[in-house]
Amino acid sequence: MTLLRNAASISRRTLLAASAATLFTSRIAFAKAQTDKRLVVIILRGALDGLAVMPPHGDPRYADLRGDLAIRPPGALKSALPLDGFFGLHPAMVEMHRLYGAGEAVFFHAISSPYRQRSHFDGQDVLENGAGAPLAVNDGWLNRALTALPGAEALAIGQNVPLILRGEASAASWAPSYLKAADDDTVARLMRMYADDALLQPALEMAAATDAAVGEMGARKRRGAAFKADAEAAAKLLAGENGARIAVLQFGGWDTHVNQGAETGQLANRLQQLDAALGALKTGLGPAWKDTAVIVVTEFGRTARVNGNRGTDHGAGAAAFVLGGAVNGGRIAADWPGLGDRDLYENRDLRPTADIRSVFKGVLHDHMKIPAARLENDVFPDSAYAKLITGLVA
Amino acid sequence: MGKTDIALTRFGLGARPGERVAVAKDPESWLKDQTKPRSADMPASKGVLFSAEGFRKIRMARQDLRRAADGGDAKKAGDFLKTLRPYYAADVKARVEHAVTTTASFRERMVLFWSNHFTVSAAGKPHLIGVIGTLEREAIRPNVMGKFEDMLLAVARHPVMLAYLDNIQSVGPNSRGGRFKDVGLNENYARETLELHTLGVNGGYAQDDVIALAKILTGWSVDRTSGAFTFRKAAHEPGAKTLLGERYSKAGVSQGESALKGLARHPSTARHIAEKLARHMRADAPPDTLVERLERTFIKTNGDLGALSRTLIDSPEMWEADQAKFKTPNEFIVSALRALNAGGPDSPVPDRLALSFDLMAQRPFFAPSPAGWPDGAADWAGPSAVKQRLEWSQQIAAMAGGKANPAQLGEAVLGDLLGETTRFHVAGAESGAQGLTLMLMAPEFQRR
Repeated sequence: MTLLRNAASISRRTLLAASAATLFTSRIAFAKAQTDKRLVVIILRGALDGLAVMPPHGDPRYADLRGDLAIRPPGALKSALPLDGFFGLHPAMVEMHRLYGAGEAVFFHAISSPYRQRSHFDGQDVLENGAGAPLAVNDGWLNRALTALPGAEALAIGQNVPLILRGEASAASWAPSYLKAADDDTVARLMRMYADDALLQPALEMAAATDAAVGEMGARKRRGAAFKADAEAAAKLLAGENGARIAVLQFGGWDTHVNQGAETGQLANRLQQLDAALGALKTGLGPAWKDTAVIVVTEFGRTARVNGNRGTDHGAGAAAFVLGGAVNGGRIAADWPGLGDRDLYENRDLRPTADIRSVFKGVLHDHMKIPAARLENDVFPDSAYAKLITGLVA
Repeated sequence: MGKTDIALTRFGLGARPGERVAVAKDPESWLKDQTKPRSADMPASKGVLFSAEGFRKIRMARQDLRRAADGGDAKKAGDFLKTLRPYYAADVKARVEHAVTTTASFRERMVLFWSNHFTVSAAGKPHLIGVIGTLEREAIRPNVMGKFEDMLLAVARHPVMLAYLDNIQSVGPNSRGGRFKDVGLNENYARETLELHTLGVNGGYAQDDVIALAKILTGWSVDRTSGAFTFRKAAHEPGAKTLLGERYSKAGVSQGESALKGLARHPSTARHIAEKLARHMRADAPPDTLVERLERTFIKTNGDLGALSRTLIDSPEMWEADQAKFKTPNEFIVSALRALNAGGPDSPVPDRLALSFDLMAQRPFFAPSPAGWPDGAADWAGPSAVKQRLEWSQQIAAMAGGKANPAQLGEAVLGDLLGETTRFHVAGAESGAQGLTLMLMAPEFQRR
């Protein structure tokens, strides 16, 4: 009998309660971590339009620049939700607005990674590698952070692990399967066959361990809107005392070159799904919500002006969000650059006035308790100019 | 290590039983013969749309589709999309069946490579689902061993690409059509042409070049009546434009043709294609010598894709024994079906097998972005993904119903690639189905 055969055939409750540590030797999935804090990173791929999600009504140029795409200021029917008088929040973001009201959300605007060109793919690479330039390193900043969190498990929702979580520390991935589970004995034999395989052996071992843990935590096949289901699954896997501590979710479809819409339409529908997922995350986490910080980011923003097709093109400065029960929120952190022609980056995009890594550092430091020196030296190399923001968590 | 198994597995899409014997006589000639015809074979077209008729259908449902794109209540559009789905299903099935049965599997790999290079995707553009496979048929296959610039131009004139990357909406601000409300320049296609299709992201272009190319390509569109490519003069931004320091002053559609030819011949394009091809064919971090050789061939032959394929065959790096590439889900599924002798009139690929791609998160023509599918090990060997392959293999092995002797099959399709450890575990399996599962999941079978 091998370890995995044992793992998969004994009662999952027993596995978790008593013998997980003896079953999985070095890489114990979902063992008790030293920290109770949860961190969720949601990557919005395709470049979310910050000027739509957080319309700056206080800027005199906004309505003009955006024309039909401008979100109406708070007050009218189906208009923006009020924030601080200067900024509003897109009407689809009801849950997020509630979190803001409850002091559980900090909103950032005119923020970006240091990447200033306009390729989605390089932009996402920089956002995830944390090293300031495309392909500068092969691993992700969240994986480097994970190495500083003994016992903490991290997982990506989806079959594969995105760059942000790839690296030296092992990370799990989980997606629902529609196929019959693999036979225990076959898994055991395969593990022996993979003994010398540095790619497949750790992957299969992690998958088997994750499956065992997931069975206990009750994550199920997806149902309903896919992204909300991802959030529900993530919540299940994070909620328990022995749950994962870090989760990464990915949500695409933000590249709104054509017919972006305003209060309603294409982008609004997408935002509504994001908002529902945030609500599901909070509900699903239950008591663990108070220990949770969620970072919502995108690779860059979109053009300040509308393009020829009622859409927007790739830009620079974006919006970002930190929310959760652990967050010291109810405020907006933005050094607003203005929307005048000369204020815009290359007379085109919202000018970034903050580095997104300042936010990442702040959350990893105050929330996950990773020492500043480690963040500066290992997690975000050569990023001293992106000053750690303190006070993001309560 | 014999060349037969490398030819079949690394260049080709995996061996079918019996194929080794045929190829073993002269693996290099077997490969080179596949580079001679300019075009690739066409999968069966039963139940498949051609792009023009597809666009005529789309046009008929235009109003509903516009509402769908705007995200409004769109039940009618949904009903319309349902009528298009069978065309997609027929196309995917024919494509899989062809990949699984072809005897020219190196040429077919090149089709898949170039089709992915010029990705079009129904993700985010659901109304294209019925025609999404037509670009591969109509622009890629005819040119797969032809000239890169011919393929680039065929793609640029293809209705699906023009729709996918929004060029059909792009209108020059100073054109006759530019004075209407809600029309203007859309730079999406121009940007991806520079970044993804030709020069590469570090290929030395700037935002001004993106705009210039977008203006050059204004008017490249789809005819409302015929559903075919058309050049709309009224949408074309008038005047000469400067792209990458070159002035393009011809009028009309020939301005775009000249600009695209210029991009196809640009040294950055040669470098970009050489790197990408070497990465796909040899290793996630390919040897510089291979990249440089491909680059030289591209420049010397003006982007002759047949010559590029022959350079691969003549490159010693390609014949080194280590299996450095982890198969993508598509490669894994196709090679597994080939190994199991599936396809053909006697054992057609079952309809539901098309779902396999979905299950492994690589649904055909649904790439998440215009960059297409990645092909690195880190992209596809996630824990959950490996488990999914295992579950699928188990199911396929059960379907094969113990007909195959896994040890013999392993010898027949992997040959010299088959290692001692795998041999041992496959031979010791408790059942034929388990042995087959282990064979399909073996490190040697998961890689190429």
